[in-house]
Amino acid sequence: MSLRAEIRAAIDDVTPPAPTLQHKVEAFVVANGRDRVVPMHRPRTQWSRPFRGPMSLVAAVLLVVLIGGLVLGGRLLRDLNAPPQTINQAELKRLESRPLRAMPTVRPGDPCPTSPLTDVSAHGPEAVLLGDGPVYSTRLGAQFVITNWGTWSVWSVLVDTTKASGPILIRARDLQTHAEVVFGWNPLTANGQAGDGIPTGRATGTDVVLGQTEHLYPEVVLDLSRPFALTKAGDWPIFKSFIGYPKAAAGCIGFQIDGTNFTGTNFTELIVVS
Amino acid sequence: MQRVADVKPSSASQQVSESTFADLLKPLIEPGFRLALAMLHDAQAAEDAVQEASFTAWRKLGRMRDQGRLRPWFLGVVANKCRNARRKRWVVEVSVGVPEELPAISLEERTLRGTDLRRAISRLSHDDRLVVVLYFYLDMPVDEVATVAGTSVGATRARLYRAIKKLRPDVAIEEALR
Repeated sequence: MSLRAEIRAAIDDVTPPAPTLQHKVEAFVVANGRDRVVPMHRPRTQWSRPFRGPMSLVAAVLLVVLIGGLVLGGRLLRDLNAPPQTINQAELKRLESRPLRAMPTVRPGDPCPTSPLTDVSAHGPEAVLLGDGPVYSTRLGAQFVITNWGTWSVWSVLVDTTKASGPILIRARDLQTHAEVVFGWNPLTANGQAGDGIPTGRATGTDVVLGQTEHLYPEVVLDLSRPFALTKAGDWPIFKSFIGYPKAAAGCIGFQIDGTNFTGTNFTELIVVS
Repeated sequence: MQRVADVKPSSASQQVSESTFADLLKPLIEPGFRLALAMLHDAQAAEDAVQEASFTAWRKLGRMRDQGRLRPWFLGVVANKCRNARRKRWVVEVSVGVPEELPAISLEERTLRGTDLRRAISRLSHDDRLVVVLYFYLDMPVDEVATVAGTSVGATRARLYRAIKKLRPDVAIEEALR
């Protein structure tokens, strides 16, 4: 059987007879039936002719404005999401490429797990902090701001620089709802001060905190070369991050902390109680 | 929206009467329907495509210089309507192609082979499917197929070869073209 015969048979098998189609089409096309409606383009009206010149000019101006807006908006977006320049970008990328580790799931009503408490009084003003190093943190919730989006608080960490070097990347999740915890700039201080955790990553949205627009970043990076200005000589550096979690989150938060010279396996999950 | 009766054909086509329609377009309705059905795999959509194509053809008939080329020209209009119909269906259904289960006459091997072949044809691109249907199903010569497809004879031939290779990779081109 030739391909031609096969194709003909294959299509004919499913081709129903249409004996009335010719008449239907003819009636559709030439009959003067008033009840058939077909979509047609309206004939071009002439009233607009005098306005065409000025309207073209307006359209051209609008186009230029639109293109300019897109360019500026693109730059703004690029700048907004640009990684911090004081950080070694290659190292930051390597840290960002580390997968998020599995964290414990907390069911509603269950207690929030906590990291072990460590005496760090010999290395700074704090006596006891959560974690077993080289990054130790304060609890959340001593001071907080509630917004339409969620809850914001300042979160401090102390870094044992004898064991950690290079940038430290921190990402966090709510252990009950798995909602992503975000980072921003503290609205009460100037952005980018020494000792500030630097929010980074692609901003996922905005919130208004204390009258200021806060971009929601999925991660924060610590620049160990720029510790808090009042850190005493010989003390471990302190870093403060502005941290937020959405309304849906329970506030029991697990942190994954990745440094260049320590693996996430030992120190990634620092759990604190809000 | 405008009623058909309110739509004036172009001045040239005003001379196209009912008898002209019967003489010129009527013989093309059936091949037009077969083409549309092979392209769309939907009888209702095929009828609609032919109806719309006929209306378009009727309005533009007076502009046709060489009415000897009416058949490829009309089938070209049908093919365009099919392309548009498939686009509309894609938008509505977010899927293109024939239903997985097409009507089968019996369980004979021929039918199964036919189903496979239909499915393979339906997976061709619009342009590939068009040349296959026109050449193999409507028995049109390659130059007329080229006119309908709006491409050169060489390009049409190349498209046909490519389509054959997709449908029957193991069959020699010369054998398939017989």
